[in-house]
Amino acid sequence: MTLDRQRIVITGVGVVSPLGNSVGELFARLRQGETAIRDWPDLAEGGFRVARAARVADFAGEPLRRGRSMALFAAEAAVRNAGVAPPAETQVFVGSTLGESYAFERAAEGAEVLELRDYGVGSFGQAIRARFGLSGAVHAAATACAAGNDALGAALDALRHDRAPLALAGGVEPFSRLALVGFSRSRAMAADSCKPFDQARSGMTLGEGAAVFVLERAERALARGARPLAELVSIGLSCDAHHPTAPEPEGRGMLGAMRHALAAASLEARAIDWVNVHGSGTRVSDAAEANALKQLFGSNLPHASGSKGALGHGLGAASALEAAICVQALLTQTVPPTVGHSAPDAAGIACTLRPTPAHLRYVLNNAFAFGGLNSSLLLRTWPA
Amino acid sequence: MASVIHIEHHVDAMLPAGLEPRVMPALAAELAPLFSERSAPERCGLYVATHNAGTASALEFWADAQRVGVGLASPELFPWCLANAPCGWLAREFQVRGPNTTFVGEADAWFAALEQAATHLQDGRIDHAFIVSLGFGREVPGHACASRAGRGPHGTRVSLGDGTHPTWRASLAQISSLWSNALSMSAGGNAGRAALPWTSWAPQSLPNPQ
Repeated sequence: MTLDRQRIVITGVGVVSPLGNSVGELFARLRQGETAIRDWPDLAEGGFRVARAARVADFAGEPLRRGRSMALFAAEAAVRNAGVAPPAETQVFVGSTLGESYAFERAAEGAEVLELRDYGVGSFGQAIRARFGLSGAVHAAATACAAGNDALGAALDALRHDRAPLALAGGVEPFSRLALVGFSRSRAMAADSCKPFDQARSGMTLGEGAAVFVLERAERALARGARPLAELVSIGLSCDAHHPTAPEPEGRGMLGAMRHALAAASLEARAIDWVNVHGSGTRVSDAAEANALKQLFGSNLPHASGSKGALGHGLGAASALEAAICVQALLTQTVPPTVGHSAPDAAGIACTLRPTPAHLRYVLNNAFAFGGLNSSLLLRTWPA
Repeated sequence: MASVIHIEHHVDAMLPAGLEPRVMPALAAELAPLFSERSAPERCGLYVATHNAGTASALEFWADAQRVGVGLASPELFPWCLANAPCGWLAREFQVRGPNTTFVGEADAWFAALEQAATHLQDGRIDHAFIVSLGFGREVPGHACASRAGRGPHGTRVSLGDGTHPTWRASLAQISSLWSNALSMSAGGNAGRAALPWTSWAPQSLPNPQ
């Protein structure tokens, strides 16, 4: 049997998350409805108006290089999980919103931070490349809250076009006080906790973390005896071109991204079994996403769930962490609950309230970002 | 598999010194000719490579937060702390509603932007790609290098070789300059010489068969 060379699979996953530093622990705690969102005394003492967040409490790293430590931890775990020694030509695709935010904060406070550009969004991919002694290119996607999805999509393209034998791809975001202040002052933060698509939602809660994946052509993976965890099928990208921070309220750009992902796979909407929603918990973003989902699926909305009520919003890491959740859900054939969601508003959508066993073949992983960026990543269970 | 795109229009521009939001109107004026001919908004993509978008604004935003207190910081500059803000601004200004991607780094970022644009053109996701290299200067002038690419048959034909490419140590400004020179030489009929700065994988400017 010959396998289509266009088929790209995930063979390894590594995560650093507020609910555990393995994808198994993350998914188990998510299934139990646990949330990592809590009050942080250091933030309250620092004068931050919002002192609730989802941070990775049990991860030690040099503060200026916390993101790099997370990136390396996740990449090493992914490579171990895949059981592969990355060849030198492996390319690295890592997305982030702000890079090592703490280094920029310290520099602005007057501390001497040499070569500030070495702490930027590109630094995580460079660190991974150096760790594994790679000569392949580094692609650093700075596409804000869609960066994880976008990095995976760029890796998918590179593998399909034979530009790399293997890819390490994902998203990384260490906790950012700068983002905490920025979103808080933009009135985007929740009064209490993120409640995706809930009628009582009031905003987002900041998170942090990293997720890195090993991607390769299916035929290569099978030839070396690896077990594919899921298939990466397509990505849809669009831009609202509407407002610097707010989404286009009808969700036209979000709809366009989902439609592009489906069209690239020659699928109809009814093929989708589950949408892992962006679900940031803000009034406007969830309303726009609800509009987009209703336009795409009509009255046949598949399972919908989101994890930002449990993990907070990990910005550039968010959609990568959520892709890891998608992989685990496909493996276990279980849609996770939507922590923080009780009941939707009249124009909204109902999300899963508890772990839901289901026949899952295709899942869309949505991610939307400042600047009106929309991405929708399509994953499929393996074997299909 | 190799990608082939056609560069239909190219712009080089110096930008005034200043934070990103103050520079963008000048950038838009310089780039306007690129967008004079184009496909429908959804069939166009924007691909930005930058080594420092967002850096100066992030420093200014946080310095302000320290001055006035984190609870009173002005939110106006916050969106510009994100490196993708200029790409989003250009999308709004010129109504580009297809893929919108920003890559951060030096030469690698530029190649990433070029490769993704070529891939999206080759796969038929878009009809026109706007590939923009952006460097901002807080105290000194910045620089932009931008190309409109299509699937042809017009413009300078650029072949992106297959396989992997080596780590480029060049800066974004250097690689942008090489790109501009290659296109300029090609337009002058010196296509062979135009290819000289590039290694085996890199773009080679070839005569347009049309």
